[in-house]
Amino acid sequence: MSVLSVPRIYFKGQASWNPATANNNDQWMTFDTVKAELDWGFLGSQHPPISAENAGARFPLWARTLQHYSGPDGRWYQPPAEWNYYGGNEVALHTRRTQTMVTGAQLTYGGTDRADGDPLIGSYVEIVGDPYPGTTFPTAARLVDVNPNSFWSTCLLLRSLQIGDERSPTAFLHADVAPGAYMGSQWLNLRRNLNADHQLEIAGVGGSVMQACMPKGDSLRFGRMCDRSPSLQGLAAALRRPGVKGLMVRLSAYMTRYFTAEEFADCKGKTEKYTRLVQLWDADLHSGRAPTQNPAVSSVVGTIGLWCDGELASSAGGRYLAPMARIAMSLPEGQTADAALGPAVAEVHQEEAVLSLDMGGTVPECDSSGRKVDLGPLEVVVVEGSGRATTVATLAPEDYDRARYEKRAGIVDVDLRDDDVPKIVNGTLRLVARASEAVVALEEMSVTAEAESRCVWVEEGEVVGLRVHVRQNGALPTDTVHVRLAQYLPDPPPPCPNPQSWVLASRETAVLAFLGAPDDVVTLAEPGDGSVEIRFRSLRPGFATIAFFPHRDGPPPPVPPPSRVLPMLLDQTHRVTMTSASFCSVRAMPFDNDLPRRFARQWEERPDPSAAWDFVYKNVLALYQLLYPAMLHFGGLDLGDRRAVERNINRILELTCEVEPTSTVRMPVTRDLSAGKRAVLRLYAQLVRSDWQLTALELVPGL
Amino acid sequence: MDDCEVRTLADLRDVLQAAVELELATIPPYLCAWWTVRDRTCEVALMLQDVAIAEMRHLAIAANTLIAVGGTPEIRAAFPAYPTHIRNVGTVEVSLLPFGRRFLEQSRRIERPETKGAEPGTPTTSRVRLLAMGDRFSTIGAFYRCVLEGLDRLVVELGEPAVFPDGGRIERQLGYFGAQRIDVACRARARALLDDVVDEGEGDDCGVRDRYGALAHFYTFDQMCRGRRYGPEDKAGRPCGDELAVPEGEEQVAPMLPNATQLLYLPPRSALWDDSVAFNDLLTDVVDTLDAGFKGDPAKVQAAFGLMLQLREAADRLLARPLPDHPGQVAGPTFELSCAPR
Repeated sequence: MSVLSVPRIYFKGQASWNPATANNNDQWMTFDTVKAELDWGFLGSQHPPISAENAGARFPLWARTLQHYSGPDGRWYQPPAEWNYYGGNEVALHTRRTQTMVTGAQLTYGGTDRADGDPLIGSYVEIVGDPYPGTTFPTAARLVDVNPNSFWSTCLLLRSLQIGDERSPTAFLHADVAPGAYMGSQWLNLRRNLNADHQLEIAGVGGSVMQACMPKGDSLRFGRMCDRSPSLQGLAAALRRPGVKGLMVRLSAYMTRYFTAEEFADCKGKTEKYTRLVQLWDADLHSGRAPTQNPAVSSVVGTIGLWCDGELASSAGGRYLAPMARIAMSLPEGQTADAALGPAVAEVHQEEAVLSLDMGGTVPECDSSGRKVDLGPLEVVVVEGSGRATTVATLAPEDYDRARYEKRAGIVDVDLRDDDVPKIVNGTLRLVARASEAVVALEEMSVTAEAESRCVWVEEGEVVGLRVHVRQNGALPTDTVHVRLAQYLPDPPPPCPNPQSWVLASRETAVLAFLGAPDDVVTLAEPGDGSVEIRFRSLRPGFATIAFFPHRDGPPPPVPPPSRVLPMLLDQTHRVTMTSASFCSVRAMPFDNDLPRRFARQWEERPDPSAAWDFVYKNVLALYQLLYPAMLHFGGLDLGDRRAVERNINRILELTCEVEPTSTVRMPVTRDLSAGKRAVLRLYAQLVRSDWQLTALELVPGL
Repeated sequence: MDDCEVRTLADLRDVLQAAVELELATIPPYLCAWWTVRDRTCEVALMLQDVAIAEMRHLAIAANTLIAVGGTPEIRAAFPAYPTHIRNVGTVEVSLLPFGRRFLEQSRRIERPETKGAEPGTPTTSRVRLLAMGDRFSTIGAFYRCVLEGLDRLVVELGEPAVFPDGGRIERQLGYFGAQRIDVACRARARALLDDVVDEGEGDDCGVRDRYGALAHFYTFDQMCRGRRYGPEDKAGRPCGDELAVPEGEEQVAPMLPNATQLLYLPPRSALWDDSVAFNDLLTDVVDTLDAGFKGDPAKVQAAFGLMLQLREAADRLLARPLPDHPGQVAGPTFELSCAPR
């Protein structure tokens, strides 16, 4: 079922992304991402040198000072802290510069959108985060990069989906995601926008798809306004169908714009924009104002529908059509491009003889206007076991152009002839472009494997279990399926500005060790719930990507490409790309387990509160005070102020150690505070609570 | 019917500043009561928290409306010393109390509906002398209706652009409170938001709930008084829902000394004194940050909310300290600002 079944509620608008960017390392390697420490070696080479002793005074000024930048896109001036030093990693669909609203609803396949008179149309769609412990007031949803120097490892943490109006955000619906669930970025495509007008910068050309599900129960509530909305009542009624577990929201974010505030409207180039930004920061700080935040804004389309048995919560399921070849595309003003389509998923509704395609991330846009590339007719073809191919439908450009895309969030319903239905049920789907010559743009993968969580953190010494869901033509497998696990590392290795590819890990470089997976293969022999658990631990701190290569008995097993897995189909011969691959991003946390013992030993040898504070500040807090100043300016807590830290030590422990790791109020937002550093904070709290009277500290077993 | 004397833009700004003061004055008592409930996860504690947060939103709406009509909210200057009275709504004395019967009676007086919705026997109090503008309104709802009436009159007389200069100056306002949009650019927005403020306090059209189905503040407190919840169709004064477990006794409610002042915590530099100073220093930071935030730097309002989260922990330290001179009672936050902006 999923959002490809009906009923569906469509929405459209913009998302605001407010990441902290001083950890980006694009040119200035401020951050040792592997150790999760400031890169003192690099900082010490700056003029004047920045050291642990003077960083509190020198780093913030250095980080927001314009410096010469030289990159593949040209040269300009920008500050090392980049475009959003004071970001707090919030994500919102409604801000001063963004709005996202319900645009339509569909209760039957091929039915007319329900719009007239339904107050749901035009209502606000929002995602929000968890309340602070002991409260009920929601905070913002947050985005986190498992690897802060990557573009493929973003996850979006949230608590609830809400539909309401501007005065009552839950007037129609409030639904919580399952505890521990979040949205993972899927089908990231850096050729999503072909940028023919060169107006998009940074990651503006990219697009990705995200999904979350909200189970039925007390935390899924329809509001009072639901009574007036036939569409929402239809959705509420459908929730009572057998096999329906709850609601699913899937959204596509694309065409990200930066420097969207009015203050930058007259800025011509990058140097002008960054100069204006630094001027704003300086003026704000000089006058005691909160420093300017500079969130990026993406276009968003999405669908809310049903979540059913057997469907993953955080990844789009169904029959998966992967990119197979590049297509020559015509762009405005005689330009051309050679690009692959993004993936798609399909579901066949046999009773209704309808094939639904989710093309939310499939067809690229030409430029910053949002216009879709005209690929001419796209044929939906089914290939039967005999090899016979039948065109079951042809999509005209108006079926996937911008207007239709924004209206239906990229979902295309195709009416089938009755005799084509069994062919599709048993065959293999293709999407064939025929603008000039016939090109198989997308082809169905007969077996797929998707991780339940696309973003995972593993501590030193910890064994993590991860469920991988296997499907055969979108359903529970009927054959034995093996999943080859391939471990990739960023290329070049960290710390590195924006690594552009993956390289297969060797025995010497592997970050993870798989457990109970001989030859790095796990097997699903009995369908059961279609899932198999993989287990792993970290060998060293770092960033690994586990890519899944499922295959059945019989055909030769797939060979993971040995190196240079690129974001998209470019010059490589292998068809696996970051866009099409099924993978899970893993952060092997810094190996800090010895840190608490060092702290305890220091205290026992020298019970000096100032020295203890110095240890905690330099080893734990300085990074977050300096690299993420949102905490000071918007959270009201100066992590460099011993008195403030000690006054709030219980709160700090609560947010760093006690709330769920997937909570949006978990600190630090970056999720890179290791178990060892958290243990140091606990020891420090013991000292503070005892008024520095303890002579020996109680170490947590294992640390 | 209460009189409306809002005839000029200056009058309008004055009553909106009074609205800011009114909303501000209710927040510390609600916070105190919330914090004194030992089990912060119990239903009553969460209800108290919801009401306190709603009052913060009302404060922001009043301040935004004042900014929209060309005024400048004064938060620091308006911060009261407790016990206090709400300007314009003179029947209500507002004290810092632990959760319990006295607090609930006070809260019902603050949130009392204007007319028919009030249950028989709703407490009334003797009128007390008002501050600057005199004792003119019997309820907060009546006060806000005066504000809205004045707003309407001025828009008719002067035109909307004159009443809302520069499109309401929304760049100076707090745009969102959580996910709720609260900026004010025109009369319609002001009316909608201020109507919600009234409804949330006393109910929609004197019903027990607001237009979105949430129980109005008066009835939230009323059901705590009665120990029984309002069901979806229940009438004012006749809750027929499930029993509501209401905390009582020292095991469930910290016996905070009402309306404590810093001087009660002498001598200086004692642990109690220091904890109270720490609370008040933090409070001063919060209030000054809010003050700056509503004077053109709305991002600072967010920062103030961040600081507010630290207040509870500072309050907890006080609530854990018995008072030797007041057997059976514990200290509490005094909500006294430092003399000068920090």
